[in-house]
Amino acid sequence: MSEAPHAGERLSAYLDGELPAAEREQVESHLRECGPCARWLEELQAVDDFAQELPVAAPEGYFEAFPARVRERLAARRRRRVPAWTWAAAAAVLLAVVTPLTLIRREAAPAARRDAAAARVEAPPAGVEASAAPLPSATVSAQEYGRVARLPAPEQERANESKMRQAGREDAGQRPVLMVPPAGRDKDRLAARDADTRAADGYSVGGVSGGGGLDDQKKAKDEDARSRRATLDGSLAKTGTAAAGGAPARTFRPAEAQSTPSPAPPPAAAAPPAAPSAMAEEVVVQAEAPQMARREPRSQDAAKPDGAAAGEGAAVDQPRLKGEADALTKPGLAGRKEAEGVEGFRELSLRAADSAEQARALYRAWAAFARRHPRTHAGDEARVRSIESLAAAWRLGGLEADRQLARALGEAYVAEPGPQAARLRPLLEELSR
Amino acid sequence: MGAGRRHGKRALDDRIPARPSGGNLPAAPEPGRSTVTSSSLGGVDRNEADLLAKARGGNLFAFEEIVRRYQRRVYATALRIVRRHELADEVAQEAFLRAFESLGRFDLARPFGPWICRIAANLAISHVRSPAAREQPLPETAPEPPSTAPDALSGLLESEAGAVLDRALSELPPEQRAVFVLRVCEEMSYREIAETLGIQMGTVMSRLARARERLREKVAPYLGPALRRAGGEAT
Repeated sequence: MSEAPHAGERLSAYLDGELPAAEREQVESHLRECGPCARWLEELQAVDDFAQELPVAAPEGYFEAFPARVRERLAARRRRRVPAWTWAAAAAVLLAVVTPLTLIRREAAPAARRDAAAARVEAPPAGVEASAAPLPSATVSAQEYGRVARLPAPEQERANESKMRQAGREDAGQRPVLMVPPAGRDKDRLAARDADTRAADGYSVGGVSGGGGLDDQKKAKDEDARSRRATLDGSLAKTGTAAAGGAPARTFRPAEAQSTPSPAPPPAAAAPPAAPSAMAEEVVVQAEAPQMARREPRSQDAAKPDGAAAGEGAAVDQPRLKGEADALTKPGLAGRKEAEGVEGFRELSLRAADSAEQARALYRAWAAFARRHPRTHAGDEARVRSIESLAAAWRLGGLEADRQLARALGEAYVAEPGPQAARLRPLLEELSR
Repeated sequence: MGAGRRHGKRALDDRIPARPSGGNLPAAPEPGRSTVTSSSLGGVDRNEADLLAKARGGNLFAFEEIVRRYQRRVYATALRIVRRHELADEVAQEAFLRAFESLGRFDLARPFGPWICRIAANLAISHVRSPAAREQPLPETAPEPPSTAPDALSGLLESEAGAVLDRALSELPPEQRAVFVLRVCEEMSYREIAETLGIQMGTVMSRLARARERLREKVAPYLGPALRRAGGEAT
């Protein structure tokens, strides 16, 4: 082995051609006279050569599959970035289509129908804001309709409330009745516009009973799954994801609306007129405040008069809610049950992370656990929790590297897709912002 | 002496082999694993700009073709820095995703390879700098101790040198490793490395010198036969 070079660090820079001309000449002059330094330089060059030739190994088939994986992830991102209003619009269209079908089956009292008909708010055609052209039969002007759809003026709101109260007394006891025109020529556009409006307001489709229904399902599940969902609810509410979280903050509160007319959005905005038509139909929205629904979800069932009292809107969204709820909880629940029997899982579950460092440590612990238990529910659950822990570290410490790694790990999991991909998506949205 | 051919930045074209002769190839790749070296990476196609333009317009399949062309180089860059397949995979994917999202700002007249590799290098370095990454153990590839093998085993020695160097690279401090990889494998200039890592050029120079010295110490015992042969061939 050579002795320490006289040229020092300059040999490395000389090797790279990064020395100024004067220094380069000095080094070259020295190299002509100094054997050890010349030998040293040869060894440095050999190191570079070996490093360049180092094979880079990847699992068999990796490069064959990699391009398509990237494309899939890009496509998935593109799908995720579909504006929120389109999902709300889809839900609104579904609401408009399914609601009449479900209502047809209901036998409502003729008197209630008459009152309801009197209270109808008929929707103008598309582009109400722009054209303000009401249908000939419209009983509410386009401008008023526009306000109804967005932020109703207090007087309009009061008028609506009066109508709702009137219809509600006759038809559904204490439940107010909101008008939702069903299908029509421009229902898609209107539904999209209304849904957009509601999405902008943070309105949750099927809000009250949707959230309650989800809570109801959750209550039947174990404590851990519920607490985890609570965390997710926060993320979902923040990201505006409608269904899974219940997002009760902007849901319809009839009691409040009746007692204290307020310029703030609620009632009519919560029941979207979805299409221009004289075929207005009622949608019964349960009267319980969302807080009540959350505290005692089963009270909704008790309030159902004929099996539909969970709210027709909720009935429409219920399958989706249920699907998402299952997606959120089922793998995790199964994983948790199985994981409880795995050594170390419970201990990790009990660990709290009050600082970024603790959260990082928890991330490492969960990741190590996941590596020790590959292809098991417990390992999968640990993997998801490791990502969540790293995200928590980022929230606590604000370190960009934590965010990037959590995002990369989460996206890799979702791209596979892991069985709990739905659980991670809201988190990924948060990490991507 | 090999210093001369290093003067000036070599074109960052995948087709250009990193080293003209293959006399010092390290250990054979593991069976059942795809292998790529920096000298066997794909080249820049003349209609690459067309593909990139289509990708910029949202054509995912055009971008998939771009990914296919550069994936080995990007993966290699990432792996040399993060040292783990699963992390290199994540970094490589993320690099392409970000490149796609940033295509609107990319000058199509410029070569795509250096740009995507720089993105990958940045991501990889972000990872190795993270506290979480520092806690992770390195891959378990224990090096063979230097041998006093006779000349008949010189070929084996040279093969071992590659494995030893690979291990020594893993043991480098991440900052030194990143600088070394960007310079030696990605052939970035000191200025480019400084910009990529957000450090001074003087820091690049000193880190690179320290990295090379540490690697040289580990590999030098295996270099005798190779250097002698290289000297013999030269004469």
